[in-house]
Amino acid sequence: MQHIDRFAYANRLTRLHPAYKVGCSALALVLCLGVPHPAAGLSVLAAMLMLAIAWAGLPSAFVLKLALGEASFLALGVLGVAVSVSTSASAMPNVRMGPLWFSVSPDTLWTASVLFARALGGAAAMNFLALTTPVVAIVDLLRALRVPALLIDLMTLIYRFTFTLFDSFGRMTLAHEVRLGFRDGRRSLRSAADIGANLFVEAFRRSRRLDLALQGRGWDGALRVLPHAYDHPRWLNRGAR
Amino acid sequence: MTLGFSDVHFSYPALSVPALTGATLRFAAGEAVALVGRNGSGKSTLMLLANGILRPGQGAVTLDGQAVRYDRRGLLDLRSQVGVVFQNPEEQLFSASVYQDLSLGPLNLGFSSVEARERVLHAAGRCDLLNLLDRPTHALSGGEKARAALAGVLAMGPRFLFADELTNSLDPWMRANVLEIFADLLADGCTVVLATHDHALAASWAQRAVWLDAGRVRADGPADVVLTALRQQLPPAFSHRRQTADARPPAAVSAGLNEVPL
Amino acid sequence: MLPTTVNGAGLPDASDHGTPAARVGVHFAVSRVRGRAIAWALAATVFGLGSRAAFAAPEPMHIMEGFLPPLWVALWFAVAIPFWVIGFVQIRRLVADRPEARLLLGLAGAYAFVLSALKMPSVTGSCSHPTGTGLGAILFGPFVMSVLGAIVLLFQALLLAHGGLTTLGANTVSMAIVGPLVAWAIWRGLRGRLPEDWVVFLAAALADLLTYVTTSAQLALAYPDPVGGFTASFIKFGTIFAVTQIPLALSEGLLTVLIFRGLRSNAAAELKTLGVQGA
Repeated sequence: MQHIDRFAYANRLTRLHPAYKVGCSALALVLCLGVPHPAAGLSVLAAMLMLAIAWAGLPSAFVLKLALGEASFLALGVLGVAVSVSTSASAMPNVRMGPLWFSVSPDTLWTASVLFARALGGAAAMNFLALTTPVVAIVDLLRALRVPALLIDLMTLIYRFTFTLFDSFGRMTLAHEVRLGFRDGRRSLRSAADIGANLFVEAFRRSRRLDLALQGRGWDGALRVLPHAYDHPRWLNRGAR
Repeated sequence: MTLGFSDVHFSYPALSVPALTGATLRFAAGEAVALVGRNGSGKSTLMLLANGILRPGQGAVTLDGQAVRYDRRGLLDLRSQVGVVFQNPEEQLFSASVYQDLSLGPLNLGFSSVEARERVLHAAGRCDLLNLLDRPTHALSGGEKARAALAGVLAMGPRFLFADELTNSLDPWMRANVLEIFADLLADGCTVVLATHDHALAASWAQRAVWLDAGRVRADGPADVVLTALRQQLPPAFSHRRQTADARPPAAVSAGLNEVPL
Repeated sequence: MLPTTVNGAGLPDASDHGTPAARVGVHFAVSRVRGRAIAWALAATVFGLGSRAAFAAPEPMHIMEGFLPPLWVALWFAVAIPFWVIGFVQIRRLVADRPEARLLLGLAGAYAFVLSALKMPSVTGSCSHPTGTGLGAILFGPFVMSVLGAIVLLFQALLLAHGGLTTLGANTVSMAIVGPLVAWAIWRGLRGRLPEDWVVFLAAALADLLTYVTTSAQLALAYPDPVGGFTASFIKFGTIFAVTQIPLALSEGLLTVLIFRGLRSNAAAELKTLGVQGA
């Protein structure tokens, strides 16, 4: 989590208006889902990897490793689609194991390969968005798109406090670790429950103290903030002038 | 411009002991005040009253002699004049963007986006945050978070700043940064009231000290006089142990130190 | 909020069984009865790994971006939207009554996110993470959870690369709607009739289990088996859950009982503020 978040704040496209990046990813997703051919997914994959590495300047090792991990999981995932199972023999080449017949047909193979390419392309598009765009920028975009303010406030708070609660969570886990709280299953369960309950109490108290601090700053319900100023692509500026 | 407490009483609903009894205080422009006293002596309550988050059960909080009105308009007026920064900066920053966090106060006061932006930049400049405005809050250090929390309040342009143990968890360098900001504010005629347990800091920094004890103002006057009186109340064991440690470290300790492999 | 299995949660690794050819060979070499058992185990392994992998790496329980065809993407969003609307209206009412509820709900969402990172020992000896949907539904109600859960799922897609945008609807339905609804129904329906610990246990364990039954149904519906149809596909995608998810559901049930006990003794006032029954 920290990795992706850190890259999102420190790549060449961080300050680029989120609409362009969300647009890129959305277009890629539409292509992936709309064209039922493996070529669509694979070309989206190639394009998104290129954009992430060449345009955003992300380290290629990290980007490729992320995609490779997803590919290996997916390869197993589509197996469930490629192989059919039945209690009787089908017309396709069959392998029998006990009461079950396993078969592979050109149809299922095609579906599996479309799916594989599609999901890989889709995941690459998501990775591009996640690695280049801070969550704050996406929330800014949603605000500009007139998503209800209440939802925006919830997103702002959840994103912010995920990090502070993760900090507390880390400290609590460490405190249990040093007291051998995870030595065996029973103790682990107790420790986990303890952390879960304490974390809830902490979240609750934090919300109270935040309430005080925000009241002190004149807060009366809506969390009004200024939008960030984002860059636009150079070619667009040139066109405007 | 003055902020006054006249015979202020306050009790929390669930507690039988009053948090503040008969507090009468007056803060004038440009004063550096240390607020001292034990945990639970009423320091935080005093700050919450100053900012209108709590309403006195009895007595009144006054701004320039006028009793504070506790309606929406009156509270916004009060909060634009009196700012409070709490103990843990981590708990006061609600946004992952420093810039957006700072903009909350000015926008709440009804400033336009242009004015709010100016105020944010001004406060950020004061707190040396200009190059951190784009940094996510969770990537800031403790001292930077303290400065961000401070800037969030300063962006509202308060004439009175109450800081609740803001410097406590900071290392000496970070603390020096915060004290520099305070010095700037004082030079501008802003009043800074710092609640602290650090009596050495209080003695060196403040002109005036207010000593709260079990909800009462025990002493209020020149910092050195009040702190000297306070020091005489410190538990004896503490001063005793410190004296022996100064005079002659126990043999075991010094021996142990020498044995540490490097 | 999403359980995940580390080290396969007791699931035999594919490499234990060698190549497919070797697996078939196994069948001929052993007795009929054992062969049947092995066949089931192999089926569980192949399809189990398969369906596990259908969710994103490395915490493979969300349906991955791009894994659902457009029709199902639209359909699951259509199912999720009414819940989001009801949840949003409920939240708006809460916030209108008490402005500070906005902050509390923000913290609650963050809590749900962090809870999913809690290490939970499974009965099988491995480690996993709770979904937290049962606890969340008891504390905040199922509709509020559908909104908070969707935001958390969106952030998991953006911060952890788990799940995705087009599959947000489907993932919300399984993890932030079905799970919480089940938990809420059990909590509402059985409270007072069974000891509270049992009610909490059943709510959390069944919410966890049904979350995954829903996920396998979603996959089976999108990719029915060309020979056996939805049923075969559901069994295919669902086998894994029978094997690995039942112990995890039990663990989550136990964990939630313990957390809830902790809250009862340490956070009675907070529970009361939330309007949790009997607090």
